[in-house]
Amino acid sequence: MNDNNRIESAAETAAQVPELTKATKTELAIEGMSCASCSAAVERAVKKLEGISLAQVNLATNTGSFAYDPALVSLTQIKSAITNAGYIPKDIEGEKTRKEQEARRTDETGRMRLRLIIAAVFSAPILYIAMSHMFPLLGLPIPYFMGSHDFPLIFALIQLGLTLPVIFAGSKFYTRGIKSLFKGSPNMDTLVAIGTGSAFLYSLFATVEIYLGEFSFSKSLYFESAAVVITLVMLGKYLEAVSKGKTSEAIKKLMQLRPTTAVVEREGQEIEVLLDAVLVGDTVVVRPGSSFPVDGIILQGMTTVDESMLTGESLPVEKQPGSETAGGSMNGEGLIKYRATRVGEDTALSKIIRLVEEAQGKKAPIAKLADIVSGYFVPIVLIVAVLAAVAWAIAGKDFNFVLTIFVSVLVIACPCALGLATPTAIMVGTGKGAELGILMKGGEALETTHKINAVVLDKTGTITEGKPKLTDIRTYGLSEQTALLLCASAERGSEHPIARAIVENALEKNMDLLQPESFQAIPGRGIEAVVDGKTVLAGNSKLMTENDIDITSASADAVTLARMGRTLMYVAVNGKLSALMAAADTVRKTSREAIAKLKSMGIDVYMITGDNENTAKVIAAEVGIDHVLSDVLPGEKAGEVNRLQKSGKKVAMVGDGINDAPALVQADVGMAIGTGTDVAVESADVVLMRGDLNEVPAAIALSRATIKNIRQNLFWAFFYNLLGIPFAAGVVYLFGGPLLSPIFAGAAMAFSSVSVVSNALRLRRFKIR
Amino acid sequence: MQEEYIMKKILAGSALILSLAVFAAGCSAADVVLKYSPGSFTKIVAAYPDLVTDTTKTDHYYFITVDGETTLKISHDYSLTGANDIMIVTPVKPFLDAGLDTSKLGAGYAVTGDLFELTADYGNGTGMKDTVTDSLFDSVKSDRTMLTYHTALDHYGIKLTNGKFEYAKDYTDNDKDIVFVLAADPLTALGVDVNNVSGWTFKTMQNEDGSSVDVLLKAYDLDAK
Repeated sequence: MNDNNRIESAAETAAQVPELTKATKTELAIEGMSCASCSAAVERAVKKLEGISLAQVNLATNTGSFAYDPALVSLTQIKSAITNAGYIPKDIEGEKTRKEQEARRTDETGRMRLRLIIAAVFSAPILYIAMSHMFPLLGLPIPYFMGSHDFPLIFALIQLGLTLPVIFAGSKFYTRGIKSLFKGSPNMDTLVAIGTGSAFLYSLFATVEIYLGEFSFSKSLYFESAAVVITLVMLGKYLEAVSKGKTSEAIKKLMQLRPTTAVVEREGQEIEVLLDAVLVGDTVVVRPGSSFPVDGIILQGMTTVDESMLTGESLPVEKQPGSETAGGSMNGEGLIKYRATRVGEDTALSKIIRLVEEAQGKKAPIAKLADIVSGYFVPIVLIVAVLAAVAWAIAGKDFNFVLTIFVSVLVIACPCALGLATPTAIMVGTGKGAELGILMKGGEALETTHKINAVVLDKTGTITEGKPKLTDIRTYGLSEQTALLLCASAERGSEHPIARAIVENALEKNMDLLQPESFQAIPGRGIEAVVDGKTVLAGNSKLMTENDIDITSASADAVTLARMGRTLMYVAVNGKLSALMAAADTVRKTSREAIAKLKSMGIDVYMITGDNENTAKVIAAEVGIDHVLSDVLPGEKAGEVNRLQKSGKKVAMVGDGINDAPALVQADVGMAIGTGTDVAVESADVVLMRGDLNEVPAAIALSRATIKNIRQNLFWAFFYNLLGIPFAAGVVYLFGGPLLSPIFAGAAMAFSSVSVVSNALRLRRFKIR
Repeated sequence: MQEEYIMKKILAGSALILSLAVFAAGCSAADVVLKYSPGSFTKIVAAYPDLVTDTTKTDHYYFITVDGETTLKISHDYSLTGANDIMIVTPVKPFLDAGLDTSKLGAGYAVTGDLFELTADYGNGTGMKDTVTDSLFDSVKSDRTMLTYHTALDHYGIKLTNGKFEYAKDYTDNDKDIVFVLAADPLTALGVDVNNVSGWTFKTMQNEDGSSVDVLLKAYDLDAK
């Protein structure tokens, strides 16, 4: 494909990415969210504003992505809406903010741990005292002076004294929960606040009654429920925070790749400067074993570079003057001087980090169900708790029983697990993908990939190396040397792989190429140029036919060469067929293995190519592909993908991301092979950085594993709540089963969150087979 | 920094609260059982004056009995009554019939004539008392552990060496206003078949610490008197 074609493809791609181009996109960090109801509340608040086309809030990353029309709404208004909903919006300004966020998260986790320790230290004795009281048969000794029978007020006061610090330690549940209740969007904190608050206030009332001589209220103390439930919820939240930190380890690893300083040459001297101080154009010195701090082009020295953390490619890559190198890659044994071409947020590594972060922040369609349920869940739970309590009261149960039911329902129904089920799995899944060199551009891409049952592979550059060599020249009336000189001179401006092969072959033969007087690319056909006063047409048979060139004299050669799998290029000089040139591309080493894997996964594999059927079939047979789509022009590839989709297939298109851009966009999942250009990154849903076709089955397997993980998480989250609520409401008790105490409700709820996050973390062990 | 400040506040507040709770716990006003139990007893003897016979002028004792047989004797001056400051006195015949071996009687038991006595020594007390309530509760002043509250029955109790005298916290709302309690195990050791003591009910009760104790009970509902 020539330059014009590339530009056309890019323009076509841009045209197929419609809506968001008019909207301004922004991402904000949002503090104060604790559950899926919170993220739903923020989304609701922002969506109410006019001019908002996208509001997606991610609980796992505590970030929100918003697209808005600046003519209708401002960023300030969006921030105000978030603030009014009870949460704190903060700007994300690239790397600095990212580090600050990381530091803040670490600090916050530390504070959570301290609060948890305080709560646990005070809750443990309350639990002990309460257990000795509730289960006297255990024979737990307690000091005589705090016996519940003989000293009921002291018994109550000691528990009150131990509970208050726990309440203080967990005060955020009350401040946030009550605030969100008054703002009309009750959340998990509201349930905890109302549940434990009810238990605490009733116990306080019971304490006053004991003081007034009603000792029987010593049986109505629920301080231990309030304290232990708060502690367990805090434990769950702490473990959740620790686990959430681990889910973003992939990004941390990427960020740690770069050194904090760089050695640059300034005024002839080597000086060490902070990474931020490296400027575009600086000459950077990298010693053996050190990391490249920024992107650049090697000026001096030869080395091998380990780019495995960037691309997943395990073998070191050889570099020499003129080679590009990326910041974050590891220098081998050579001393290198290179010119910085991209620094800061513009480096490839920063872009990858941003891409992964954006992907982790995007919701999968499967998350919508959890979002919808979470949005209604808390108000429904409040109603269920009240109804259950009222029903038992009407049935004649005493106040203690009714309160137990009320508190247990509120506590066990906290939807934190539901809110974490999808985003944590997506975070770990996309993070794991990034580690393996598979960049998933969001939850939707991740989810759709698991449904893929047909993969269309572009031949050139995907199945093959994309660097064909000139193998045969057949001439008709011209000498081989003249034909090659004219054709190579005509093609020297072309980027088409076969054109490059011809030019390279001429240069290898030390030919002095001529400067073409004119040059025109004809998309899907070839080129027309004037060289040394002669009109040269080089391209496929269609180009010849359309220009009334008779190619029958080359028919026999064409058939022979095509059967050998060669790609053919006819050359006509001044309106007469002069030569037939043939080139062959080398199949990538891993193509056959990758295709076999795809087929073993039950996926139909198609090869799409502009080559004629014979040539295409030879390559297809070599790599084990049964379905061949040959003679397809670049502009027709999207149509072929569409045709497969109409036949009921879920199609992934794998290409180099430039000439295949329309097809990548048309496909259900577009996969760009190689680091590619911005167009590739923009067009594709998945970027396979290592340039290895094995990443295609790996991406699909990772997607399948992630979606399976999400389904498990959602099952457990729903299971906990659906089973827990009737249990806590006393339905099981009604049929002779046990009554769930608030303490066990709190433990179950904490366990549900931790189990969901732990299950998501299992994805970190995903391996490419 | 603000968070650290808050955390320090929480820690300081927690320490303060706990100190206050311990202080309050140590404060005698927090002993609500001791505070309210004399009042409940006073209400009973005020509501049923026939329960009490005052012979303090002749033999230093108040007599409390419902049926005229089983009686609680309370000394009005512990310094004058030796080891018999408070006694449960009941006919000995049912116990003899159940196998009581009087030759084995130890501390806390006595048989005088046809009466079986469970005695308790609370020391010398705090001087002569003018009322039956003050006399009863002089036992607690020397040893707080002698006073109990039984949540399940809503009873206060005064421990004796081998038994207990219990009375309702609120006699208007209780069908066992006065209860005499004899520990069963020591009686078994004295040869008594505790399941066959006429007029007494054998029962296994649960202590606050979870342990169980076998007792013989004689309970009275004063409203039915």
